[in-house]
Amino acid sequence: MSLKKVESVKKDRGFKLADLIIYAVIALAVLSLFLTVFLTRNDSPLKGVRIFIEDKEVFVCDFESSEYSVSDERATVVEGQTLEVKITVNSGYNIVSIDMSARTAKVTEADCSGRDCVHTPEIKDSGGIIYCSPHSVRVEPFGYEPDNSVIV
Amino acid sequence: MKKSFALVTAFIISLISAFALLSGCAFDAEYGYRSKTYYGVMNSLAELTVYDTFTVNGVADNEKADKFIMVADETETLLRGLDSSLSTAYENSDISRFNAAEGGTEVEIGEDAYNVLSVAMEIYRLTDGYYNPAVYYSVRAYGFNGGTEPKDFSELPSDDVLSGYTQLSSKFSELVLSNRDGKYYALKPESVTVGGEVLPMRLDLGGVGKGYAADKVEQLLEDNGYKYFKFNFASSSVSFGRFPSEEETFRLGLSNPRKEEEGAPITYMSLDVCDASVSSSADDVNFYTLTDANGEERRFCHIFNPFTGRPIDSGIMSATVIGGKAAENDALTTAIMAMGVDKAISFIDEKLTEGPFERRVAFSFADDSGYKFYTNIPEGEYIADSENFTPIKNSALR
Repeated sequence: MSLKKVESVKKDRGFKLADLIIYAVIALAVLSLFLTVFLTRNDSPLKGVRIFIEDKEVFVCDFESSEYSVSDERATVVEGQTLEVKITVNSGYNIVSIDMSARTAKVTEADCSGRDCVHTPEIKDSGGIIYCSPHSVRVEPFGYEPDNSVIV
Repeated sequence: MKKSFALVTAFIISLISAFALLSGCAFDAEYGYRSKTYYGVMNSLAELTVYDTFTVNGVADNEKADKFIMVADETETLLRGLDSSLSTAYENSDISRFNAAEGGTEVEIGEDAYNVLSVAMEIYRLTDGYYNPAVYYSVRAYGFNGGTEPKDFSELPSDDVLSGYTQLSSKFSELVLSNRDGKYYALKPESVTVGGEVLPMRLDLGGVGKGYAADKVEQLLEDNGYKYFKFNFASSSVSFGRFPSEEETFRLGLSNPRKEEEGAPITYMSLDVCDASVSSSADDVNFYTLTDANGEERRFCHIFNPFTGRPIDSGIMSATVIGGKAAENDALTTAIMAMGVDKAISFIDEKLTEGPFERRVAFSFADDSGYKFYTNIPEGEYIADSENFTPIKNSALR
């Protein structure tokens, strides 16, 4: 590098306007990426639950709108502090207790053998599900995706 | 370009790269899943989950979606076919026709029934008769499998009757299977007179049928090129393929058979599994209780000791077998529960820890000092989930 060039570099300021514009564009890109990923993460509370008998949806409750609907006479609802949804099938019944304010759902009563559904932990995010195998009843959160765990 | 500019740019690019790598998380972003649930197969529920690249760069791959639908439908056909062959609920199933036939006669059966009976006989021999599908009459007499549930002790079968039933079930070793001209046959042992009634041998293959079905589904999935999957047949038999991630695998929890007790954990141990078949039996799946003369509640479960003709009362509450074929594992878990603690530990150490039937095994049991579990799985390869269950290494340490 010539002496003249060295002197020129020494006299230059640290950043030129064009440099700053490029920095700003890159910073904006990083910020956009950050916001896209973190703001769209599904870590919000449970948004609702659906209840199925076999593959037929019989009840749905949307926590966002605080509304529910029954689409089959085998599901009946008693409103109180919690919604008590009674599912009646030929072989028996299950009662699903839904707490709209706490955004949770749990099977609280059933007359099935084993009563595994009653002992399954309450649903409080999109990762959980409650099965009653003898009655073919399934309580499923909105956005449910099966995880990698199995209990035998 | 200035050196400072180059440095800052390099820093930002590194930051973006690191961020992109970290946000890749455990599950391979390219993989999604499809699942299908099958109801009422062998009176149970089965769930198939397959992981594949159903969407690439945001675009749905319809061929892969259609392929899953086809394979899921084939799975249903397979399961329904096995059910109609092996279940005693169907009058014309192979096993119902076998059960209805007189002692000493030969019955033509289908290939699947032949295969399942072959596995049943193999595990019968391996376990010295502790797995025995010929306990049909005892099972019915205690109110299971379509029998009437006793309301009190007076309705339980007498010792004489049970003695006759066990005499009949012990003849399972005399069953002869044959394959001639592409057809399959089972020659029934002679009948036995119990309480003045001539009873032909009858079978209940519930202890091996689900495992056999899980093996067949696994084969179907692999034949269709799937590597990443799980097929869960009522938590009794599960076939695991691989999980679509390098950092993570399937997580198996072994259910606490006394989880109904207040504050009890759901599982007593857990471990990672992939590319493995798992079967499990437990005394809390199908049971009832009666109160005896001393006012104590006694549990009667659907798993039977073939030598007494009674529901097991060995202290073992659950058993899980991992590896090999699910059909064999299904029968092995039943046998382990019937053996009782000491015999089960000897059997696992001698027959299942190395050799042709090498398996990873765990069982939970209760004795005077509380809940315990035994496993031949090396320490470090599992996690004990509950302080309520004490791990036992071998007989000498009990």
